Amino acid sequence: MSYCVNCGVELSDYQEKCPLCGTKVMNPNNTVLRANSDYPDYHVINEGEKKTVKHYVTGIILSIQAIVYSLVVLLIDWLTGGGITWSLITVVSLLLLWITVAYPFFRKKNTFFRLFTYDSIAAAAYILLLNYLISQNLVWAKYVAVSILFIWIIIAGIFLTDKIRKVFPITIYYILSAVIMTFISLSFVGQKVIILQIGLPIMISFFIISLLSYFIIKSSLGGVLSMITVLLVSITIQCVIVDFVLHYNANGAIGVSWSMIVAVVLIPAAATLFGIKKSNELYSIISKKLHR
Amino acid sequence: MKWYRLDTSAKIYPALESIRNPSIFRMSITLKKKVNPHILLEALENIKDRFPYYNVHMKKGLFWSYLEQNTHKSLVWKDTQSPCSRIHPAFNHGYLYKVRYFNKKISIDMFHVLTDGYGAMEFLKCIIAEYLLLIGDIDEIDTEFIMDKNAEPESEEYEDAFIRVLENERHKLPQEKKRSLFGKNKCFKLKDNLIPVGKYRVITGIIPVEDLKKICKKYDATITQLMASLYLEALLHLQAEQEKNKKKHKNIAVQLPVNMRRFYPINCMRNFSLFIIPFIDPREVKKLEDIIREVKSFMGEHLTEDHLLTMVEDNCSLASNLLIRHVPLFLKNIVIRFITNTSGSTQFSGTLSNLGVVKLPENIKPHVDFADFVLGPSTHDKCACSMASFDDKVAVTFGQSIRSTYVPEYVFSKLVKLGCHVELKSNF
Repeated sequence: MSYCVNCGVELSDYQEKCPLCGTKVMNPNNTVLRANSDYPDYHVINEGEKKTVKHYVTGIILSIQAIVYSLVVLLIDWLTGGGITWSLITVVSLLLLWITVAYPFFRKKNTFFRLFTYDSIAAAAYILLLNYLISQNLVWAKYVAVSILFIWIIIAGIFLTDKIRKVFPITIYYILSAVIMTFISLSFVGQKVIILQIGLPIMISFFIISLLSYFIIKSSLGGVLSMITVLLVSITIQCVIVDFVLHYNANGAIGVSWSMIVAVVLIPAAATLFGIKKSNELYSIISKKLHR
Repeated sequence: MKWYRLDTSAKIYPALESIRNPSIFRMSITLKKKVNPHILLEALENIKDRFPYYNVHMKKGLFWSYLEQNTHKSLVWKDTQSPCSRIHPAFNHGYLYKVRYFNKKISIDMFHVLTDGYGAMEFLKCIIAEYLLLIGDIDEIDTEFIMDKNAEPESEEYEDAFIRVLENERHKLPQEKKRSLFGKNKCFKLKDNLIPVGKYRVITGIIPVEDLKKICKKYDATITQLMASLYLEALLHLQAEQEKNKKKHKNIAVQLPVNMRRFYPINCMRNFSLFIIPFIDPREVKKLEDIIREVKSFMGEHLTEDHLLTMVEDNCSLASNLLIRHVPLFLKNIVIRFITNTSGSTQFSGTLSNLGVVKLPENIKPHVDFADFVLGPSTHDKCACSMASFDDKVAVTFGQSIRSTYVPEYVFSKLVKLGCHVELKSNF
């Protein structure tokens, strides 16, 4: 029995020094009593220390790299062409890369939502700049930028759902978002009547069918296969509605065309899924692979 | 082939699992005689059918991983120098736990996906009882404290207890606005050079229960409250040493797992624990007495039915969110890793887990020296403390993946100063 003179703790007989403070134990009887040790292969861990790199150092290194690459590209462009033309696209791309990769290293508090917001803004700005640099207008970039905004609204809604957890304000949020998005889309298109006659009915039907599918899945039917079946049926119905609206507006007559092909593909698939549910073994394999 | 869903708590572990963060913990029972590995393997084979939910391998589905029945032969392993090392199922016949032996000690390294400390200890106790029966040290197994190996597993043992509690008690949920998942304040984190990958330093102090009880009586606290306060005090002093500018001092918080079986009597053998995180403000609290008072009041406020139920609901809500459920597994894993590595890890400075008293039948007690519990390495918790008590001994273990031994040195030295006898064991 030996004690550490510094810490006052009793040490196991096989220990040569105190594991807490490193004080050497006088006359350890370790060779005789190693057989009673608690762990095999007793040795001090002292090799391969790893030093941690501070976050902002990584950020600085990446920033310097970005600046150097940008300067080199600008210089090459200037020397070869006598002005700065194509290199601006590379510099703007590097700027986007810097915002998405290097900038988070300078921020003390990174949350997924914040990073996603910065990246979305950066991506939208990048697309707009790219379009402007290439053709001095914003013909196609505005659609992409609005799409990015649309994705951001959906993701922000998910975070909002997690924070608020109340159905009514979330529904209001999504309806408002849909209205805003519709107005933005309307501002891009000259023929507003088409949007109102085609876009709006499709959006409303999409909203109603999604809600119905959600309640059917949540209330009555259980299991992955049932859920997929409901989804397939609702996609088919949605396609038929879209087809109907387009057909009516184009020809002025009631009828459907291409949605029948979708129905021919999806309805048998939905029926097959019900069939699978009847076969126990197949159902077991699919349900464990697809359980939610 | 029978299969099981992962329970609500287990769902994050496959995403977080890595060599630095293997999500493994260890339960050990040290006997008084050297262990015979052949008989240990026989004992494991005899009892394993009682625990079908542990004899599984993990497979990936489209949305979640799941556990599928494993019919391969079990293995027992000689212990390694570093406990709680990563389990590679491919080299372990697919199993997610490893039964290990060394000299007089039998240990089980358990992947957290399967169960928490309670379940693992019940499994280990069953192995130990069967082992002692096979070597002839005992004549019969008292099923009051050891699970009956011949009984059929009940569905309650492997069902998701969180969901069951929530379904049964939903009407009792408090009406006020729920707290957000993560707090706003970042806590102090231990910083030191990491030891090499795959290594893990373990320091166990064996302390007589009577000595600890005397100190607890002096401070009017439970053993968990006392140890949590000592742990917080060690971190408080460490922060003061590392950061001289007091304005930059952060709160110090310790993550305390709560065994929910204490509050909801469900015989669940899978994960059924949650955390409370008592914290102290270094600008306001300096002395051990003050820290104990803070910890006591925090535990008093948070270990209430309302709060526990809210925690259960929070725990279930993410996994049961319709949108999250339908995101493919690989995307979920990316998001889980990101959130845990950013917001999740900043909410606590360290972990202290008290397994409580390991109860064994009277005829087994004379053959057992002590029981201990080791929390595995984690990138977010570089010096975790765990405790288990058996008979008249409490084993307090610090598992750390950093070189500095400041925290265990502080805690054990303080205990010695307060009048405890500490017997130290370590793997380095």
